[in-house]
Amino acid sequence: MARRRATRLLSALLLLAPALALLGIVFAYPIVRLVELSTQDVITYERTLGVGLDNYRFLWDDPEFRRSLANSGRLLLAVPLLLGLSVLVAAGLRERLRGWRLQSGLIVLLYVLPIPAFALALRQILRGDGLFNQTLETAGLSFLAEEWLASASLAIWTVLAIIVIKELGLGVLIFSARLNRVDDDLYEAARMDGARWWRQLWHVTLPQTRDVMGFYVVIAAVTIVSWVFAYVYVLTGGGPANSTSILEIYLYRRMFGVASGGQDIGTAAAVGVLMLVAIVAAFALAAAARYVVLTVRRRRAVAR
Amino acid sequence: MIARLGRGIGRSALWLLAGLTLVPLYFLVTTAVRPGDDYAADPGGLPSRPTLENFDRLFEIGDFVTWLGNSLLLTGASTAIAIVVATMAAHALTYLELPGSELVLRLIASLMVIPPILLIVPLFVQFASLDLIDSYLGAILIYSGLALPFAIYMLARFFRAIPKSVLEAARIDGAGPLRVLPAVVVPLSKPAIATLAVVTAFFVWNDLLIALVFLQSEEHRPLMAGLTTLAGRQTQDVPLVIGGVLLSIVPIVLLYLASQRSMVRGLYAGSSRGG
Repeated sequence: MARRRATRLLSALLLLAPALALLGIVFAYPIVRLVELSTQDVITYERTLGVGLDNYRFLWDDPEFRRSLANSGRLLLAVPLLLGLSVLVAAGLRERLRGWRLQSGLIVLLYVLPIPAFALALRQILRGDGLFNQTLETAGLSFLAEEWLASASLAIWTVLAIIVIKELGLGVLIFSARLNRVDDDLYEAARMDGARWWRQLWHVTLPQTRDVMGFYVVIAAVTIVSWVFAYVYVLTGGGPANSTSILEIYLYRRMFGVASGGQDIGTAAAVGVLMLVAIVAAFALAAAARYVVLTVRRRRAVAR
Repeated sequence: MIARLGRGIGRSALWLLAGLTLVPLYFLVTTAVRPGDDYAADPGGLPSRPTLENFDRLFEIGDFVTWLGNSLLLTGASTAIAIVVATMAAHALTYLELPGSELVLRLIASLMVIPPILLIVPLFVQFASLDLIDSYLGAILIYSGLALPFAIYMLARFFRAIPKSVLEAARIDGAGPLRVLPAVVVPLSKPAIATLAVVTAFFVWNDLLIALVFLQSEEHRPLMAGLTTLAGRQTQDVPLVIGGVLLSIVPIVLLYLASQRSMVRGLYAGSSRGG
């Protein structure tokens, strides 16, 4: 018995060691080091100076940082858009109308295409004399033509639209999978009661998908705040005139000295810490909300 | 009447959306076969004299071939490492029934939401002192490490679904935990491992950020970073870049078509992380 336990422990060690080592190198140690760097002034990669919270104070006063924060906030508007569109499209695909396989296949294909490749194409399509504006002109809608990516007031919204179109596939996938598990009888019953499409959406689809919604919103929000670097880098590089800089772009530019004021690793690390805190807070909030909902439901069930 | 109208709108909306996804592909294909001056004269139009010279030139420049080779190397090596390491870890966490395995698994799964952008700050400083910047080894470590949380989580979910009786039979036959993995668990999990390989390969092939930071020389650069920097330099000759972009997505499209079903399942498993 003791021998069996010993083999088990030894096997566990052997099997887990490479994974733990790799996770330690890529996640655990860097996260500790990130927090440490955020309180330092990095003179060379080996020589640092403790500066307390100066890096954070700097961020607070830096208009470029504030603008990047505001833009990341603006992009969060993509979350409700993605949620609404994903549910609608998944509900539409569920009808199994002619061509639904092709439609869903194309929407998901767009999601798996490399973001840099997609963005390089879109950058050309959306230039002033590009395919999009020319198509508008041909359709007699030339008054709608704009400098989609070159206008400082418009570019961030164009980026947002591009992100929504590309990322839609994941939401459609999630809600389609969820709707596939809904009993057909529920829809059948609604139809028997004379419920039309919209009422079915309201009375069957929405309540049935509610459990996945909360989770999808958190994932989408985290994606928008911290995983859209490649879109902005390729589409606008943060321009024109810094108008599309987001947190990730700001961090990158501080890190590698492309921002005004030159390279500043400590400040870049401080941005990273703030992003980390925001993400952990989002998950804690989501977990708390879920807990509250579950408790209320349980109490109601007991009261009945 | 109104219902029929509503249905018609819904149906056309789905086709419209599907059609919209074809626009970038249409643009890539029609632009890749245009000479540079033809495109510059009319960026929204069709090729006036279609040609394949852009592809010839891409391969003549040489850089493109280097990028392609780098992408293949990085994708292959990182995917292989991530899968072997994740398979071992997932087996330990599901088969050995050690106390605390569930907690460890949850902790590892929660790493999925840590964005790479904030990891590059300490990683760059660390790798600079270890002389791992601009090296394949450094980048492969990062790629396979970043892919691990999802890989372990997904495989553990799959391994748990293997019937206990099958594992028990192997145990009675005298197979230790290290034997059970290659003899029983891996053969039964081939579909899951294949799906995971595709998803991981997509992640590495499609990445821009890690490549920009950790593979800065022309000689180590993979495709996405190469094309992005080429686009920055070659503002005059857009079709050349677009030709490269078109070639760069061919493997993705083919792999997607070949593994559509299992991959959709895999992506879904990944998306239900923590849920």
